[in-house]
This record gives sequence, C-alpha cells and structure tokens, in this order.
Amino acid sequence: MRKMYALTLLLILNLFIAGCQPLSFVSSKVTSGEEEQGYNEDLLTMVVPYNSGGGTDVFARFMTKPLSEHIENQPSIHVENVPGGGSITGTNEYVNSYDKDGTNLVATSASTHIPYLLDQSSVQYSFDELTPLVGAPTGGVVYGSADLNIKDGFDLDQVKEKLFYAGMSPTGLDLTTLISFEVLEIDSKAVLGYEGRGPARVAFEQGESNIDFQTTTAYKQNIEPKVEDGKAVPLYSLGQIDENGEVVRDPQFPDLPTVKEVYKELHGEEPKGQAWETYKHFLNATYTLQKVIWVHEGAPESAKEELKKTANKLVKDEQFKQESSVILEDYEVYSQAELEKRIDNLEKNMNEDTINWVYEFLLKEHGVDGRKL
Amino acid sequence: MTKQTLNLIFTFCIFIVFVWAAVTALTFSRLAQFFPLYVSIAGSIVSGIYLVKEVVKIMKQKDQGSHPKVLIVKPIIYTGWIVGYVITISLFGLFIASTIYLIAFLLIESKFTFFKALYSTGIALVIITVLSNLLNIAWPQSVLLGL
Amino acid sequence: MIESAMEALSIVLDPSRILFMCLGVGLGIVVGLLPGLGGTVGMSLLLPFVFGMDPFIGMALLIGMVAVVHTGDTFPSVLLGIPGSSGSQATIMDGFPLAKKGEASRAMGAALFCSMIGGIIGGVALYLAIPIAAPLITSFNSPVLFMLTMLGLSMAGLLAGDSPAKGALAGLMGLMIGSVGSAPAITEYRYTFDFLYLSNGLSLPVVALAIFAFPILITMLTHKGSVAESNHLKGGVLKGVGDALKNKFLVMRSAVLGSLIGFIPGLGGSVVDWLAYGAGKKTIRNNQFGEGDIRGVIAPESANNAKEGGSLIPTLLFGIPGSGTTAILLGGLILMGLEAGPRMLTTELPLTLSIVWTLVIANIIGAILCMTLVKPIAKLSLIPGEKLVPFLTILLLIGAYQSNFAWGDIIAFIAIGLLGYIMTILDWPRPPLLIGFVLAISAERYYWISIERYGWEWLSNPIVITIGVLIVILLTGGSIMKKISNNLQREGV
Repeated sequence: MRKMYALTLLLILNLFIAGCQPLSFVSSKVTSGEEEQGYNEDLLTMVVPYNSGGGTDVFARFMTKPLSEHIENQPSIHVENVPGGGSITGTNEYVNSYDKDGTNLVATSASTHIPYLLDQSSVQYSFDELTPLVGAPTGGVVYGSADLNIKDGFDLDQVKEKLFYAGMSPTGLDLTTLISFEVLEIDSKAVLGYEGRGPARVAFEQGESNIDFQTTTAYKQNIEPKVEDGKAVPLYSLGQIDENGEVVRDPQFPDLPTVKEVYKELHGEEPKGQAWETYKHFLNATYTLQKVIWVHEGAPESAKEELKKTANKLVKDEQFKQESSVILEDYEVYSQAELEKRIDNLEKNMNEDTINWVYEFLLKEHGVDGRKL
Repeated sequence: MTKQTLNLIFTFCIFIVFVWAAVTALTFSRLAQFFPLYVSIAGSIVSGIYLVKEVVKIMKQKDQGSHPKVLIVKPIIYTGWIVGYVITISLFGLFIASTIYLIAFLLIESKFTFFKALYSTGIALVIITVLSNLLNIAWPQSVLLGL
Repeated sequence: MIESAMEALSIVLDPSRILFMCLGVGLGIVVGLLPGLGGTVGMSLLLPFVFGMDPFIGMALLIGMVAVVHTGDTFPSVLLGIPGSSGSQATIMDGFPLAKKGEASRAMGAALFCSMIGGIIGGVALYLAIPIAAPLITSFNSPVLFMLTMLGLSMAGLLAGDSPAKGALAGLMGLMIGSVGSAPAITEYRYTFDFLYLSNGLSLPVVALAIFAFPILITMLTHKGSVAESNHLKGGVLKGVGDALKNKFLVMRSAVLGSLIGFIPGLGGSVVDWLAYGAGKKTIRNNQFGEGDIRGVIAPESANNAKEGGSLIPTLLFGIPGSGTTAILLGGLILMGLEAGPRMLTTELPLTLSIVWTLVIANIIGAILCMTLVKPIAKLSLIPGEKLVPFLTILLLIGAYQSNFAWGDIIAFIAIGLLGYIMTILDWPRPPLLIGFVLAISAERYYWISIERYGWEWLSNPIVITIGVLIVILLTGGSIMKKISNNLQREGV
C-alpha cells in the first residue's frame, strides 16, 4: 500500500514534466548519440571544454546554427560541455576519446591555448593533431585611473603613484597584459587572485587597482562611459597580430596606440629582444586567435574538406556578419586558409627560448614556478 | 566497538590527515601555500588537543559498563550495496545496472515479492528514462561498453 | 520610476510571457525538487532555447525558473533530510525533525509561505536597490569581503552544537576540503593526487549531497523505519502558514538579510540559509533550534528565495556573477543580444523592471503550486526506509553526476558521504564543515588580496574593525549573556 505513495510521487513528477513538454520537443532532437557516422546522419557534436554560459560556450552555441546551415544536408550540431581543469580536461578528452570521424568538433579559447604553449604536463592535446576551421579574435585595452594624472599611454613614464594591477592568475589571460607591462617597463604591483575580469573591474572602481585591462566588449560597455566622465584614461590597446606577425592597431580601437607605438614614443626605438618576441607570440595565441573551432586532424579528408568549405562560406555570408556582431564583438572571422597559416606560424614561433623566458618571468616577477603547474 | 573508541580512531585519522596536509603544503609555491598551511596547522593543533583530552577522559573512567555501541556491520553492508551498484554501472552502464540493483535490493533487503519488485523496477526505469530525456540529464557511462 | 514599473508590469502580464514564465516555474520546481539538481542545471538546460529569443520572453523563462528553485527544494530537505539544492541545507536542521514528528505538512506550509514572502521581498529589494546599486557595490573592497567571510565562518561556531572542539574541527575540515584544487591566485594544483578531476576543486552540490544525503541513506536502512515516527500526519499546510504569520518579523528580517547577502558580490549565496538560520538561533529567545522548531524552518526559507533578487543586482549591473546560476544567466543575456552593464539601468530599464515583476509573480505561482502538492508528497515520510532507499540512491547518484558529468563526482559523493556518515554517528556537527567548504575559496582569495594590496594596513579600515567586533560579540555573546543572567539570578536569590 505504501508503495503506492511512491508511485503517486513519481506520477506527480511526471505531471510536472508534462508542464515542460514544449521544451522536450525541441530537446528530443538533441539527445546524445555516440554512434553517428558521416554527414548523412543529422548530428554533429561540438565539444566545449567549459561550463555552459561562459564566453566560449556562448560563442560555440552561437556558431552551431550558421555552421550547420552551410554544411551539406544541414546536420544539426549539438553542444556538449565537458568542463574541468580550466578547459584542459575537455580538450584532452576530445583528442583522446572522441571518434575521429569528422562528426566531432571542439571549441577552444585562450585559456586552452596558454597551457599548451607553456607545455604544461597535464596537457595531452597538440595543435598538430587538430585542424582549425573557424577562428575569431578579441582585443584588449589597458586603461588607468584618472588619479594617475596622465593624459594617455605616452605619459606612462611620468606616473608618480604606485601602480596596482588587479588580475586573476599569472598563467591566464592576464599573462599577455603582464608581459606588456614588462615590455614597457611599467612598474606595477600585480595583485592576483580576483575571481574574473568583472570583479577586477570593480576593484578598479573602488580604487583597489589603478591600472587595468578589459577585453573589447567589456571595455566598450563599462569603461568607455567612465572615460567620458573623466574617471578613466585609456592608455594603449594590446593590438592585433597581422599576417606577417607584426603588431598592428586593433580594428575596434583605431584611435588607440598599441604597445609598440607606446614603446617607440617612450624609448625612441622599435621594441626588440626576447620579451618583445614573447609578447607577440602570446598576443597572437590569446587575442588574435582567441576562439578557435577545430576538428581532428585524423578525420577523413572528405569530411575535413567539407568543413573547410563551410568555414569559408561563412566568411562571405553577409547575414552571418550582421548576426554575429554582438558575439564576435564586431571582429571578422578568418578564412580557413588564413587561420591555418596563422596557427602554423604560431607553432613555428614556439621555441624553448620563449618558454624559458616566460618561466623565468613568472618566477622572478610573481614567485610562480611554472614548471610545477 | 564503542562510540568512544571509534571517536578516538576518527579523531586520530583527522589528526594524521591535518599533519600530512601541513607537510604537503610546505612544498607548494608561495601564492598557493599560506591558506592550506594555516588551516592544516590549526587543524593539527585542535585535533591534537582534542585527542589528548579524550584519551585523558577515557583513562579517568574506570567503569566499562554503559558505553553506547555503534553499528559496524550493517552500515558496511549497506555501503557495499551502493558501491556495488556503482561498480555495476561502470561495467554495464546505468540502465542495466539500475535494473540489476533495484531487483536485487528489493528482493533481498526490502523483501518484496518477485512480481512487485519487477513492477516497481519497471516503473522506476521508465521514470529515469523519461526524466533524463526531458531534462537532458547525462548518465554516468559504462567504462567498458560505452553504453 | 513607478510609472516605468507599471509599464513593465503590463509587459510581463502579456499572455505569451506569462506562459513562458509558467514553463520556467515548472522546470524550476522540478530541478529544485530533485536532489543534486539546482538552478545551475535548470539554466544550462534552458540556455540553448533562449538563443535569439525576445529578451522579455527569454528572461521570463529564465527568471521564472531561478525564482522558484528554492521553493521546490524544500520538499526533500524537510521530508527526507536531503538538500534539494545547495540553498536549502539549513532547512534540514529543523524541517527534518518536524517531519519525524509527523508534522511535515506544517513545516512545508510555513516554508513555502516564507519562500513566497522572501521571494517578493527579494524582488522589492532589487527594485529599491536599482538607483543606489553602483555606489553600494563598489563599497565592498577586498578587506571588507574577507571580514564578511570570517563573519560567515563564525556562524559555523554557532552551529557547532555541544562540543566547540568538534565544531571547530568540522569547520577546519571544510576549509581543508575547500582548498583542494587550484589556488585562487595561481593554477597550482593542491592535494589533487594528479587527478585532473580535482583540479577545479570539489563541487558544492556533490559535497552538500554527500554530507547530508549519504548518511540518511544508510541510517534509514539501519534503523528500518519511515521518516515519520508516528503513523499519521499531524497539522496541515495552513497551520504552517499561521506559524509564519505569527513570526512575521523573523520572516522580514531573514528575507532582508538574504537579499543583502545575495547582493554582496563574491561572497556566494550558498551560505545565505546558514547565516539566516544562525542569526535566528542567536536572536530568538527560548528556541529549540535543531529539535524541530518551526522558526528554524522559517528563517532559512525566507532568506534563500530573497537571495535571488539580491544576487541579480551585481549580475545585471556589473556583469559579476555571484553564483553558477547567474554566471549562466549572463551567457543567456548575450545569446539574446544583450550585455550586462550600466545600460541595464538606462536603455534596458524596462527589461530590468520586468525581471523584478517576474521574480514576484513567479514566487507567488511557485508557492501556490507547491502548496497543492504538499499533501500527497508529505506521505513520502511514511514510507519505510528500505523501500524508499533504493530509488533514492539512483536519484542521488544521477544527481551528483550532474555537477561535472564525471565519475569523480560519484566517487567523491561516496568518499565524502562516508565521512559524513561517521560524523553523524559520532555526533560531530556537519553544518560547520559545509560552511567552511563554501567559504574556503573566498576566505583565501580576499585574505591574499588584502595582504598583497594593502599590507597589514587593511586591519585599520573602520568597516573591518566593526565587523571584527561583531564577530567577537557573536562568538562570545552567548556565554557572556548567560553569565550575566546567571549572576542576576544568583543576586536575585
């Protein structure tokens, strides 16, 4: 008799779920399947090595629709989040245990690329095993508090106050900014451990830090109003890497000087040396190639060709350009050939000197032994 | 085993873990070190003092009469059921494992009749399937079969 | 502003939006009801569907879901002593003993009614905070946040029970478990034994389920009985509502506390229920908290729904997510073509106001819906343990697995569960462990930042000193009061 109560409960649960029916119609298409083969089947999987709702997840989810529209037979693409290990877990799993049949894609981001560049021991993936399909950049702007009494980045050598920088971790996205400080010889105290760029921005508003950086959208949304109010001063943009590997102005911030220009103004010569080479290398991997969608290198040639074609169609699609402006922060995606060339260049520039320089920099400036990570 | 003895063993284990954690924390880099170090040192001290006090308390008591006992065998059996279920999942996947586990448990532990056990298992499985399809819930997958 | 609020109300009351809100409410109650699933799971479930939706409809769906998670999660907390989501752990402390006495319906009635009132107060708090949010949020700098985590930890002392040493050790164990994984300031992995699973630390839902639910599974079997000790159920939903009305000041107080804590970015809302419970325990005279005092249900339940309103403030205005749920909400906003930031108060103000209304309306719908379910579901407490446990085990294992979709979730569930079980039979208090676990990362982060940024200077900050004094009073207050009253008694005689 009592068991009937359990059944009643379960029935009630069912009633609840009946309330969610409209969802189920949509979601039933997305049931997980492991055994799909080729594009005659109507399902592709996009592995996202982050939790849902994060920047990369949003990017990946956004890309599923335009991508599938351009693939023959328009297979639907479903997103699979494999979070953990700061995106290393999911990417490792993609390389090791997902079928290399061209039906599985992976979306990565700067925090996936950095551990690879630093050759961390937990990383089992390599760019050699992956073929890039779609890549999109983001930008970054370094700005300071109005209290510093400077007008722009060219005055950085006249700062009298002690500089405080609020960051998350020396081996995350902050690394590029920290190296830019090293290049420009900005003597700032990096206080690390903030939860994200958002809390770091609040720290800036509280006066806990007085030099900070934000990526393109966050800068435009939150800092530009402050610049207009005279509370913040843009100093320089991190810039972008062009096809020749040189630092150029960010298309989203054509009026802001880059690190290179600031250095020239302060020192009267072009920046050079290992610090500068490392900066360019990391700028490339973390900003210019911030978000990349890949497929297994070992996937069948026909599948890879189809996906490459798709990526190129996407570049020319006007409607996609319009729809993607919010997600891609008005940057344009690279054509597949260009992306592949950029990744190749990135790999070529990887060498022991750069890695050693970074490890030494981390140890000396931040007391972090990178080799133990 | 009496509650007091188990409490002593448990506290001792905690003490060992805290000491081990403190020693391990010494190998961490400066940025990562201070917090676990503070906590584990505090933990070692508090658990050490508590351990000594408990031992002293026991030494003082002479009477062995009315100490509450704790169950040992039964909890281990029931934990065994759960662990066994988990192992079955890892072998055969959630669906088959749940079937085996439910029928076995209901027959052996709950003393259901065979028909009743089968019936409840069926309903539970239907509900699991419906729920996970509607809510898009992921299942633990079999390591062997990939089910 | 009132005009635009009315305008927003008319937007919200549009039938199609109400429909989506109800969908959200339905899902919110289901994920709240199922142990291990919470707002985060609900959000990630809905995220694919909000893509390209009209923001008003999308937000009705998302906020409708978030608003009622802590209404639905009361059921398992009260009836089975298993946290329905990580926000309703404190409800167990008195809700479960009440269910044992056969008064589950009464506890549920009070809890649901308080959830509703709390949710409404949270919505109002969001509305009132809109004009003053920006200066308020920037007033919490790292030293203040550190002291607030310390205040939260000292609450663990209040919940320690009879033995201060056991309580302190449990809290320290929680802090220790919380420090597994990478440190806030650096991605160095601590105590991970080279398991990549542990590198992000353990997940709160897994730990909460393990600490509270696993011991229940075992004890229900070893004691072979149903939850309710008597065979018939006393008291109805309405009695519970009456209890809540009698304690209206407690409801108000806890709800305000809940929305305030939700509002502080970086503290994390997961301790709201414990803080409200602790505050209630400290301030109510003649209480029997922990033994089935209805006020021990009212305090946390009023606070946990109110928290959602508060936690939306930093999320919407600053883009700082206070919890996993709000982090996904931010992603949802982007997918609908919006971006959190100051613009939510200017060009997007109607949307922000519609969120306020959605919170209020969804809470009312959710509470009423749940109240109609109390009577049938309360009978769950009459089912004998050995017949209920096998089904619960499956539910809990699947629930735990939803945190990271990894085998590690299940292994951690069993390992920490065993720890929880041993603590239960030896009468070690478990709440301090959980509070320690939740606050470990915040404590480490803000302590490190305070020291790095200010040296020892931060100790002289007046707000820091005030909170410090508060902590001392909190920890010693009880015993001092007791001494004074004892002295007075003696003198009286």
